[in-house]
Formats: sequence, C-alpha cells, structure tokens
Amino acid sequence: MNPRRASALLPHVALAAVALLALSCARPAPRALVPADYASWERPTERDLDYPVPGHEDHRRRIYLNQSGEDVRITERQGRVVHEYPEGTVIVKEVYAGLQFRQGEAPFQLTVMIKKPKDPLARGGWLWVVRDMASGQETVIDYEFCFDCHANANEPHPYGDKNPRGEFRDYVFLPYRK
Amino acid sequence: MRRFVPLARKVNFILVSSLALGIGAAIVYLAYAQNRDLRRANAENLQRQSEILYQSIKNAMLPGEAPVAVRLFADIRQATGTFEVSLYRADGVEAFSDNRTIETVNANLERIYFRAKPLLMSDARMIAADMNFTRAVQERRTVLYQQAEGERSYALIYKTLLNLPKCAGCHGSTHTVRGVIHIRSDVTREAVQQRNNLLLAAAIFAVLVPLLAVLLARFLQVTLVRPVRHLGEVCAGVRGGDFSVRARIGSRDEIGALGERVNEMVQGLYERFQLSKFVSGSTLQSIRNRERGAKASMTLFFSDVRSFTAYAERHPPEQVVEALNRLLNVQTEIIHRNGGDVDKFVGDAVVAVFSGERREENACRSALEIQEELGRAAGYDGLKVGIGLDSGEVILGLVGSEKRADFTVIGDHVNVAARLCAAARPGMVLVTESVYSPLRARVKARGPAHLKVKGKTEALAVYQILALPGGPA
Repeated sequence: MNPRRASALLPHVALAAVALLALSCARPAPRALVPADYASWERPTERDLDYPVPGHEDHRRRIYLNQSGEDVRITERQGRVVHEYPEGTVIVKEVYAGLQFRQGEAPFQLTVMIKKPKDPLARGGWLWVVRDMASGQETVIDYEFCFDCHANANEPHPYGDKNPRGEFRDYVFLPYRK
Repeated sequence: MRRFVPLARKVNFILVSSLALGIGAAIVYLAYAQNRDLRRANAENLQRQSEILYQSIKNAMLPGEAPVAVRLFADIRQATGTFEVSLYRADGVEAFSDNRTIETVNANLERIYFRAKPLLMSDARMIAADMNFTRAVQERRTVLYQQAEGERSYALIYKTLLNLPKCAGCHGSTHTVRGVIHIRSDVTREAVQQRNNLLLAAAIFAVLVPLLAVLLARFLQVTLVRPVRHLGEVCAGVRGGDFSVRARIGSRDEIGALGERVNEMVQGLYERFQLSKFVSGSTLQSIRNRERGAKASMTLFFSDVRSFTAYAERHPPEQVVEALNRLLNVQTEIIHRNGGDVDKFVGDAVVAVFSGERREENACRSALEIQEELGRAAGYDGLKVGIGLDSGEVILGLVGSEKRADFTVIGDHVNVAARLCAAARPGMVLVTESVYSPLRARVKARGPAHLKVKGKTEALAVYQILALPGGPA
C-alpha cells in the first residue's frame, strides 16, 4: 500500500479502535428487575386494595405473585407459624392514582418485593424495588422505608386477616394461600 | 545542540519530585483515610443513636406517653451537653408544643381516649424551611448532614418517624410520615481533630520531604555525583595531555571499579602515547584505518649526515648520540611543521614522506630550512646533511613480520631519493625532474645535471635547489 495512503488511514483506524474499545467497556443496560408479564400471574387477593395505608396513602393497589411465590412454605418453629417464600419469589404491587377503580386506568407505579437473600441490598431477604411507570426507571430502596413498614406484617396489624397470632409472614401483609 | 544539564540537578529533581509525590501521596491518603474513618464513625454513631432514640420514642408513643418522650429529650440534653434531640411533626412544628396530635388521635378513635395536656414545650420551634427536613419528609428517609455555627461544628440527622400500620389505628392511614426525629451532636472536637490531622500531615510533609531530600541528595552527591565529576576532571586532564592524573575514588562499588578502569585506561594511553614517538604518523594512520597496503603519490625525502662515521669515531658515544638526536630532532620538527611525516630513522638518515597537493613544495621547503638551520647554528658540531628528493607513485604497506612491522613506503622513487641523498654534498638539496617541474616558476635551482645512479640505465636529470622564495603558494 502507498505509505501516504496508509498514513491517511491511520487516524480512522485509531478512531475505530477507540470506538470499539469504548463500546466493549461501556456498562451494559441494566436488566429490568420487574418482569413485563407480571399481570398474568396469580393474585393473592382478588380484590383491589382500595383503602388508604401509610406508605401508599390514597392509592389503590393490586397485587400479583409469580409462580415461585406460590410455593411458599408454611412451617411451625418454636410454637410460631413461619411463612417462607422461596428465593426468586416476586410480588408486584400496582399502585394507581386514586382509590376508586377507573376503567382502563394504568398504574403510575409498581412497588415490588423480590426474594433475593444474598443480594447486599436485600433487607429481610427481599429486594425492595420501586418502578416509575412513566420513565420505566427502577430504584432499589436501600433504606428503611419499605422494610420498616412491612416488618409489621410479622405481628398483628390492621390489614387482611390482621395476623392475630403474630405469625412470621415473611414481610407479606396478605399471604398467598393455595 | 542539547543544553547541558548537570547530573546534580537531575538527581535533585528526581529526588524531590519522587519524595514529594511518594510521601505526599502517602500522607494525603493517610490523612484523608483517617478523617474519612472519623467522619464515618461519627455518622455511624449518630445513626445508631438515632435508631435507639427512634425505638425509644416509638415505644413511648405507642401507649400515648408523649411526656415520657419529652422528658427523655430533656434528660439527654442535660446529661450530655453536646447532644440535642427534638421531634417535629411532618408539618415542621415541634411535637408536643400543642394538643393537635391528641385531638387527631381522639378523632380517629371516635372517642376521648387521651385528655388534652398542658403544653409540654414552652419554646416550640418550626423548621419547615429546612431543606434537609423537607427532604427527609418527602423521601421518607434518614438525612445526615453537617453544620458549622461560629467556631462549633455539628453533625445532624433527620430520621423519619414512620406511620407504621400498627400506629395507623390511632394516627390514621392517610399519611406515611408521622414526624421527624432531629438529633444534633456537637462534633467540634472531632472536627478540630480532623483539621489537626490535616495540619499534622502537612507539617510532616513539609519537614520530612526537604529533610529526606537533603539527606539523599547529600548521599548521592558523595557516592555518585562527586566521583563522576572527578572522573570527568581526570578525562579532561588526559585530553589536555596530562597523563599523570589519576582517579582517586575510595568507594568499593561500581563507581570505584569504574575509577580503577579509568586509571588503567589512562596508563594504557600514556604508554601508547610514549610508543607513538617511535612510530611514524603514517603507521599510526594505517593502524587506525586497519590498512594493509595501498598506492599513493608522494614526495620522498632522504637526508643523511655527512662524515658521521668519522665524527662517531672521534667523539665519545654519549656525545655522538646527543649530537645525532639533536640533528634528527631539528629535522623532524621542520618536517612536521611543513606537513611531512617521518617514516623512519635509519642510523643517521631520515626517511620522510610528503603527500597532498603541495607535497613537492613542502618537501623542498623542509629540505631548505633544514640546511639553513644546520648551516647557521653552532650547536651541531659542524655536522651537515645531504638531502635527496624524488616524487612519484609509491606503495605504502605494513611491511615486516607478524610480531614486528612498519607501515612504510617502497618502490623505485624511494630508491631514487636515496641515491640523490647519497650524491648530495653537505648542505646540498638534490631533486629529480618530478620534484622540480611543479616548482619551476618559483624555485631557484641549478641544473639540470645528469646523474648516473645505480639501477637506472639512463642518467637522471637532477637539480640542486637553492631557494624557494615566498610562503605557501
């Protein structure tokens, strides 16, 4: 090859190499934590939760549980009933703008529990995730907010069956029952 | 040309920069790490304390024992002096400064469960305008920050008091944050310690780097820079012709070994220099060029002392040698001055060669100057020489055995010059046509005479050179 031509090509080759390097080093797009097909999952409770609760306040909620969660293990330890959801369980809570049901309304937010005990961000064995539906952004809540509230699920509380015996419900207020 | 940069300057630069970078990086990192750990420990302590307080307040509030919480805050403030705890409602008003919460609880329970209490806080504050407070309420998370007030430094924390499901029965379910615990911890002592850490690190750096730089520079000066300079001075001395200089390096290391090598080299150079006096310039040249043999056009110079044998018989040997050396010395000087090269001395005879464009002129001038010098000076015991010159192509080559050889000239013109020398009377310079012709216009000469020489069938045209006016042509 003509040396002059070769030297003219050199910057282009260098640029391409840098671009390839940058591409290879670029951080891959984060994988979505919340599966897109969650709406086809089982619902632990058929009715929408249309009463205000702290944390979700005046927003209607609808809950879904993936197949792994259906295999929840209920045992008794030292006289206390213990619920244990298997690793891989995902509980999705759709959060709607108002308390009233409106036809065709889409949730503005998903709050999600993912059973992943080995994850360093997990609290109580769960990852606590919020997905903003407008932006699609998912945020792992690595502070006490979700966890503190859901810790009440393991003692008597005002929701569902109210857990009168103080079972360990694995931080789930409305446990799945086959 | 590249600028000369002294070794000492380079060494100092490298020393100071590596010390500054190395020690600086280590000290900065240590100071940074120490301060970071101190800050982190403070923050973790504060978080832990807030957690303990959170649990205390939560448990005091569940049975509606607000006065217990108020008393707890006051006791903490009084006991520590550096620790202040307050509780604010989500709207920014300091809790227990009115009976609004009691009224709300009673309304939610639809009965008078708690009686209104006398105001517990006399100096209720409001901090809704605080950005960190707003953030804690909106994001429902703990916010930790630092603040300076005059000379004092504080670590502060806003920890949200969540409206948990078990609280919702009394406090309602429409809000998530019931209040915010505010803890202010006086960390002036820790802040001063952080600042002192930095100052101490800077002081260590400021003292240690120059001190180490001076010590190391001194060490390198003694072990490296000074010996190298000394070796340079030795080399400069040798270059100036002083072979008596020697490297005096006492260290037993590579530099010391180098000094010994230099001394050996100087000694070798001295010996070669001395030996070069006994070897012709052309021999030295041939050794440099690793020549074995070549043809060249040259003017051959032969001189021979007349009646020297008789002189030697009449005088003691020391005087003979001294007189001969004086003669040979003056001839050598004149020949060298005129660009010639003494090929060899053969007894009292001098064989020299002249090369280059003006070889005939230089050879004639040398011959005339020699005759003039010997004719006018009284220091030669009346000894005179006869000189013969011829010019033409000769063979130069290393002639001799493997162990002893001379780079010398051979050929017909060498013989002719020798024959003319033999024919020349004392003080006479005889040249052949080949020497005379190029100088014909300028030289004063007598001839030609025809001289029959051994080895030649025909008589040679020979000229006696009398004078060569003017300087170089």
